[in-house]
Amino acid sequence: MAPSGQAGELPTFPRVVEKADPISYFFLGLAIVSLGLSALMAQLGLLKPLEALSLFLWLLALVLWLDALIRYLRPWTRHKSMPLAISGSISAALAAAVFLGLTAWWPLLILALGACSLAYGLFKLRAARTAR
Amino acid sequence: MMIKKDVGLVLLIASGVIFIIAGLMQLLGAFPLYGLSLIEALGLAFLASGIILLILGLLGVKVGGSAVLLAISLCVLMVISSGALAIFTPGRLEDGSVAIFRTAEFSSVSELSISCEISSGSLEVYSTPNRSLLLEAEYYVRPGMEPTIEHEVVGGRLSVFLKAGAILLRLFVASWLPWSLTASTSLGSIEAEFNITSLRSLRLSSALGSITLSIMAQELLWNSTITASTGLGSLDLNLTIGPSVGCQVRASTSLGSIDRELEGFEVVSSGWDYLLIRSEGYASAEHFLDVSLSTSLGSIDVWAERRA
Repeated sequence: MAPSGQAGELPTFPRVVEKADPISYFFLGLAIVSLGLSALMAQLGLLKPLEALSLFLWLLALVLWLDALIRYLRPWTRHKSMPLAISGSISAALAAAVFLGLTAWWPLLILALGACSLAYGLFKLRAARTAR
Repeated sequence: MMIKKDVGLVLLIASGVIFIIAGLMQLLGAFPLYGLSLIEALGLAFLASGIILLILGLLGVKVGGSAVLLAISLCVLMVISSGALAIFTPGRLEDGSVAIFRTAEFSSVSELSISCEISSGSLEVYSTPNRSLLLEAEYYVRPGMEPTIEHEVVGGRLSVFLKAGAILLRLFVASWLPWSLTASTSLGSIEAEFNITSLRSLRLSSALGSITLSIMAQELLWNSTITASTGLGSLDLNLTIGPSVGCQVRASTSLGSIDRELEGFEVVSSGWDYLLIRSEGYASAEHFLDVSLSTSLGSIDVWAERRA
């Protein structure tokens, strides 16, 4: 089968064999541990519900960023790193907004969305120009 | 020369820049188009987005998702620029200000009429039996966004006109005078809790917010009407009347639901999208209260009780 992809991008090959992705399992596990840890701290009274939610979102952002970084270092999974990095950034912005007060700090989400769009656009544009 | 497929990326970058500008404007409290209504701001955003799409279409450029994101970012920018969400900024509301109309200053007043128009924010209305007070307006706004409050007295009737952009407003209305109130908000909730013995008419409407009404009428001095409508918000009515009051409640919704809990009221007709109830002994009542509730997408909850 021929590889697909735009000029300037790494080619992506269609999946031939359904094979478990150990990286996904590892990071999904970390995300679930983060959720459990936050819920437990809220249940034990160490954190208020909103603080626990904020903690979970922070931990989720770290997990997503780490996942993105590791995938970027492994070329055959590199194509997944950008969505993960973007999701991590939005999760971090949401965590900060929840921690500081969502009513007033919700524009952080817009800022994160803007920063992600800008970074993605610039990255792709540079890659396209380099390929030409 | 820019290749056609790069246009999508350029639009994506432009969306990112617009989102960042919009977010910073909201955080820093800079609203260059303050005074523009929410609908006007959205109208301009749609106009700009449409023109951009038209140009791209004429140039034969296919950019799909990027163009949609650009349109969304323009809408966000325009809504924020108009100051419609100005009250939702970090720690920038001024301390509460108060406008008071005292009985001593308006001794000739025998009737009260209040008109209130809010772009965004919440409105709370309470009745007060305090005879030294006609109306008290307590409000919280951002610096430089004070509401316009005008009044006139004609033939013993005090008319107060209040117009605001983004505001948290609390009204205390004299319940011992004949009074009427018309209030509308584009984006925000309305909460009203009062004794309506002297009420003539009440009209409340909210485009995107909810309305909560808690009404007590042990008796009425004359016939009264209450109208409340929302576009997307829910509508809750908590009504208690005395035996001398004949009350009829009509509720209708386009896509929402209607729930009821009644005591001393009977259902005249009902369906999934409408409800008509009347208090027991309606025909023999001294005075009548007519309540009309309507929503487009929100649900309606009616809790009504007739006390003996």
